[in-house]
Amino acid sequence: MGWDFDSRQPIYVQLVRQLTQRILTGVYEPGSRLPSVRDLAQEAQVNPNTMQRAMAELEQAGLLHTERTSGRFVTDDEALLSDQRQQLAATHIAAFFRQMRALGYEPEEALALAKRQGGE
Amino acid sequence: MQSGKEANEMEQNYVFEARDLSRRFGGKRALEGVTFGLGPGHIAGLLGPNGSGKTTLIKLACGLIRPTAGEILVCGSAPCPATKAETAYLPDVACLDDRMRVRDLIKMFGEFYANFDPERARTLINDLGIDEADRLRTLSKGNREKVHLVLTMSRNARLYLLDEPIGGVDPAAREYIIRTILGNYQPESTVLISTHLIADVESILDYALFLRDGQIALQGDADALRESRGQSLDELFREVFKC
Amino acid sequence: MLGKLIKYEFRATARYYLPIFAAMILLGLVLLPIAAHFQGLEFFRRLFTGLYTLAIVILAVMTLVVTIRRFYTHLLKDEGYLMFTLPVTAGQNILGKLIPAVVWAVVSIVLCFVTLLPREIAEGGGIHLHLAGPDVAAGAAILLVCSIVTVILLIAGEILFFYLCMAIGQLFNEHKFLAAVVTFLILSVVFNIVGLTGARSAVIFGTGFVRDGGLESLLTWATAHSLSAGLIAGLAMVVISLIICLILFFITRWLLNRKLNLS
Repeated sequence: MGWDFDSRQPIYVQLVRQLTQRILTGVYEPGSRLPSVRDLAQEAQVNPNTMQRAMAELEQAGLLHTERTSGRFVTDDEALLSDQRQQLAATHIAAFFRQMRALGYEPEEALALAKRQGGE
Repeated sequence: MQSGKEANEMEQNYVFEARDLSRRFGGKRALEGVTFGLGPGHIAGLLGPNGSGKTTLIKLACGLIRPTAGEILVCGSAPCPATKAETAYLPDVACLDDRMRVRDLIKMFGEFYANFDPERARTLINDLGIDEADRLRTLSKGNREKVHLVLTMSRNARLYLLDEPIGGVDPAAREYIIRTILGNYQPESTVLISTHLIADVESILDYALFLRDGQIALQGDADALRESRGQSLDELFREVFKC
Repeated sequence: MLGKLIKYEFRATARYYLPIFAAMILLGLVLLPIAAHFQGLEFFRRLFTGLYTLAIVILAVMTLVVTIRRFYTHLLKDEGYLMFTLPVTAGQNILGKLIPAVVWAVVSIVLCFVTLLPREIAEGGGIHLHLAGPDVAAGAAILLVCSIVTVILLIAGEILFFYLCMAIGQLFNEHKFLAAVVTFLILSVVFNIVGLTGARSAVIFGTGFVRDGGLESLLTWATAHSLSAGLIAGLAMVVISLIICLILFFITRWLLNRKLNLS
């Protein structure tokens, strides 16, 4: 899973999104220790300050927490993670319906198509 | 990090600072009224087309030339041997004696720069697959430039000045250079990358100084500029310079 | 720091001087005395003498070329980007080139004398001194020492003069070396008119002086007069040549500090 950035948007915003994605999909498992800001910045090829800013936002959101000497850890609060996953799913679904409507499919039709395709 | 106007209001220990800096060559104004302050822990871009005064600014920082007006300060002092010890400069030209062997260059840097880390240099050079016993002139141009980059980045300096480090190299080399710059990041140091090829280094910059005709056209936090303009720094650059 | 600069400069220039020194020692102290000693080696005697003369000519030319080139290419061309961003002052960069250059020049001259010595002694040369008394001898000794110091200072001054011309030449954006040569010619003419003929003449004059018994007569003159005459004359020579060196040094240093013009 590579890091991909669109330079037109603030990078820290994109980092927040991509880190959240990794956490919610389990790439960084709950309770696991994250690489240091420097290492992660090098891996993503971004400025360490930008990475730090993104991680600070994730801490604010409760997805990460810092142990003073041991570094940053992914939360193991399943309720929070589940909640976040639902929120992210909701945005994906909203985008789906939006795109389908643009093609001319109303939500009921879109849902029916999705069920048929999902069943295959 | 503050913009030029707010700099005077707050006490900051800037690593690299210019106050109304000007430099003329005969009748030509290479730099005019340049003011900015870079604190530690940043990777900043000095962005502008060729001839905009970037190299002049860097030469002033290195003490190779003197201002005609205003001040330039490195760690609070005008450029002198003490600031040169804390300034790691990677120029656009090849300036190492290419008769020397790589290991002799490592030794020389260690002798003249107290903050040079020979082990780090050796590790990076070995990773490149370069033999320390090789003379510089037997290496390819790309490898020569990488050796110079490694030597420069193996110093624990406060200010790194990289003049067009990624000019015309292949993508693999570009990635290596960026990785080396990031790998060397220290919270007490500041890196200034001077370039006109912005797309290549955008992602690692957290501050941008746009230089046009010797004056600062725009400066600010990279993400803040992207947010307020809805553009990448590269697009912003093209717009500012209409090229 | 200056010590390190000097060390690296010696290392970079030794490759040029040491082979010639070795050749001169070999020819002058080994091969020529052998050829001169045995009968029937006339051909070899002439050959070695010719080679020795050639060696001296090469040494003289090479000293000049190396001294000038080292300063020009290492400080005023691309490598200057490294040298002037090292944590050293411009003065240290100048001395880092000047001191090794002077040392090499002095060693060259001493070596010439030393390698010629066996031949001189064999042909019955030498310096005869008639000393009228111990304090007069002291005066002569002081004068001798001051002469040597003066010659060394004048050599340094001559090299500094080359450096100054190059420092002026690099002010121009194009044809820097040509500008340096033109500056050299113009300033040489000016100084000749003013009366400072430079170390070239002093050194040539000095060595010829010694060979033709000039030193003898100078010392005899000094010994005929009092201690103070030798002292005053000696110190005057040293002070004047020192002042010349200092002036050249400070102007060159100012130019490299304020007016450095790397491409």
